[in-house]
Formats: sequence, C-alpha cells, structure tokens
Amino acid sequence: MITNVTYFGMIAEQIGVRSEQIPITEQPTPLDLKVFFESKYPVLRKLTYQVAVNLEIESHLDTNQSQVEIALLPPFAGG
Amino acid sequence: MLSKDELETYSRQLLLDEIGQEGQHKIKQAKVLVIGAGGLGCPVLQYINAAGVGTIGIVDCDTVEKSNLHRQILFGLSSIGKNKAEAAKLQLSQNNPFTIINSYSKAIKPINAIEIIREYDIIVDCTDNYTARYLINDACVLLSKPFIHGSVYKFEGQVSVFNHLGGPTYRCLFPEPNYTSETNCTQSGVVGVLPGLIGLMQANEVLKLILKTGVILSGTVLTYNGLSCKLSTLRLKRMNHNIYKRLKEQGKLNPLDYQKASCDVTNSIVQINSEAFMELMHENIQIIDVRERNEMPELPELKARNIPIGQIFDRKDEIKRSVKTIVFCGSGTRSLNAIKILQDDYAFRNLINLKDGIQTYIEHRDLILSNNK
Repeated sequence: MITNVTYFGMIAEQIGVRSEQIPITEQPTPLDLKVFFESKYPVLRKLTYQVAVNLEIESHLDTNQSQVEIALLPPFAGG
Repeated sequence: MLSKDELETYSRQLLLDEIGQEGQHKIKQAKVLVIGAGGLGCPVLQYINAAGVGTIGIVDCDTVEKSNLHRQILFGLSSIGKNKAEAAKLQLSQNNPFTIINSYSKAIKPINAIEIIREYDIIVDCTDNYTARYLINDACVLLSKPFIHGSVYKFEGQVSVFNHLGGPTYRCLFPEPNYTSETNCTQSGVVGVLPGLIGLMQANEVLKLILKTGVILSGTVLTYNGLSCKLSTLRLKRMNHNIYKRLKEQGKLNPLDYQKASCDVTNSIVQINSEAFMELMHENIQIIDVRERNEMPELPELKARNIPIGQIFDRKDEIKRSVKTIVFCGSGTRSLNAIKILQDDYAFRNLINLKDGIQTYIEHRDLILSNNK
C-alpha cells in the first residue's frame, strides 16, 4: 500500500522532511505506526506526538488498503 | 434587555440569524476567562470584547516588553513595563464600555486555578507552556468547564475545544507533558499573524459555544500551516485517564502533578517547589535545613533539623532514612549538593530538594497569609 505522510511542527524540522510517500507491505495484523516511524526516524523516540490515519487519531494501521493519509502531530506550546 | 446604545453598537451582528437580540443577550450574559494575554490572548480578548461578551477575565503575571508589540496587539508603547492583564483591561475598557473586565495579575497555579476558573463559563487557554496547559485542562475537568485550546509553533497552529459535553480533553490528545521538547515563541520565533489567526479561531469557538450554533471543534483538532495554507481537522476520541479519577477523589489539584521534571539526569535528584512543599508539610515528613547555624530567617514553624552543609558527613546519622525528607537552604543550591553527597556516597533515598530555596517558600507563605486577612 501507499501512505502519504505529513509531518507537523518540530517533527518536520527534526527529521528534515515535511511530507513523503512511503510504501508499506501488507501485514497480517495492524501495524504499530509509532514503532514503524521510530525505526525509520530514531529521533522520534525522544518526542511526544500523535499519529492520525485518514484524519483520525489512531496509532495502528490496517495495511489491507491501497492508500492512506498519515499525519504525525506533536504538541505546540507557544501562545 | 439591550439598551439603545448597545443595539446600535452591535447592529451589524444582530442582523445575523444565528445572533439576533436573543443571541446578543446570551453573549452579554456570558462569562469568559482568557488565561494568557500574549500572542493568542490579545486577539481573543479584542474580538470577544468587541462582540460584547458581558464578563471577561484576564489572567497574566507578565509585564509588557517591546518585543511583544509585534504580535500582542492590544499593547502599545505606553503599555511597556505594565502588567499584561492590567494593560489589556485598560485597552479593552476603552474599546467597549458595555463589558466588565476582571484582571488577575498573577500566574495560573494549582493554588489559585480552581478559585479563578470556577467563576467563568468558558475558559480559553492562551498560555505558552505545558505546565499551565495541563493545569488548565485538569482544573476544567474537575469543574466540568469547556476550554478552548490554542497553540502555535512558528507558522503552524492548533485549535480544539476540550471537555465540552463529555468530549475529549487535552490529555486525550497528549496524555503527559514532554518538557524536554518544550519551546515557546520567544525561543523558536513567530510572526504576529499566526497567533492572530489561531486566536481568532479560538474567539470564534467562544461565540459558537455561547450561541450554541455551528459545529464546535470538539473531538476535532484543527491544524493550520500559514506557509502552505494547509488546514487539517483530525478527529480524536475521549479516553479515560487515571489522574482524573484521583483528582475527583481528592477534590483539588496537586502541585506535584505540574512539576517540570527538573531532575539532573545523572544525579536523579527529585526537586519540588514551594507550593508542593506546603502540601507535603501535612504529611509525615522530615525537614533538614542545611544553612549555617543562626542563618536568617528563622523558621520555627517548620520544625526543621539544622545540619549545616559542612557537617553533613559527621551528622548524617541524625537523618532518618525511611522517612520522606525535604532538604532546604537559602536558594536551593547547597541543599542540592547535600543531597548529592547523601545519595551518591551514602545511599540515602527519600530525599527531596526544595528547588529555589526557602526564600520562595517564605514569599508564598506571606502571600497566603495576606490573602487570608
């Protein structure tokens, strides 16, 4: 499947990517997205963030689909 | 009832089906608390005041600086040096004579949050740090008040309405604060339009909540990127959090829940502030004063054992090992060093440093005493 990934705020700065397409091979069980992204970008292990799949906050991905939108959202403190 | 003057002032918004005289009356009856009168707070305050929100509270302990003026648009050159809540009140009162403005020149803290927040119907989080944000969240959960979150990072922002009619809270989005990656506008930079945009979205939610109209941003986090013009709405669900159960049982906020984990990672020394210290004083604890003998001020009410830091090695056996122990000095440095020695060299546990020293405790104690008069 194809995932269209968008990174927000400090995450985009730390990994040097704002958005990208990542192909993911089908798996028999839902994929833990935090584990997946943290192995790709180890700096994420130190950060707090949520994952959204097709605009729904959800950290597991059913890979039995053709295409999804994924977002990684950190908290912002500024005011 | 609206006066002739009010009818004229609000005439353009009265034309809207969603408002009308009935809606304007609701806006006049509403009590909205804005916590933080900075980059977000200023536009929120400006617009809800202009719309006629009847009672507006402003909480901010900071003073206006020149570097605020590019984005904190309620302030001008004559505001510099003034407390932000007071300066905002002055400007808002000049803009609209029909609204009541209450200013609180203080920071929102566990000791005052419940007392201030309970007087208002809708809370707006315009703060710039995680400690305040989690405190506001928990206070609103305890008091069953909705609050409108807004936050910015450079050219991006987030808005959501939390704790509205059983909807998700801030902890449903981010369960715990991560202070190591915390950065505010002073550190990372910002241009005024971004908090302006996000603040106005917050103000819009205030009005929709009052009027009970439109789609409230509850269960949804709106994210906006000013550079790409990308706007997303991410849905989230309400979750259970152990802290809410504990808060409801104890009926109040615990300062220890809002401590920045300011531990030196290599030494792992636990530190608390004066508010947390005052909470702990009711428990079975031991207090050690490592200042010099007769170092002022004397604090007999603490019943502390005085072991000057130079005598820590010789007199360490006077310290009970199994009891929670608070160690203090004037400013928090000597006590930190004393704990380091006791922990690293003599395997003491249960030691807690009074961060910033006994001076902040004294200021805090005196403030409470004067408030109780």
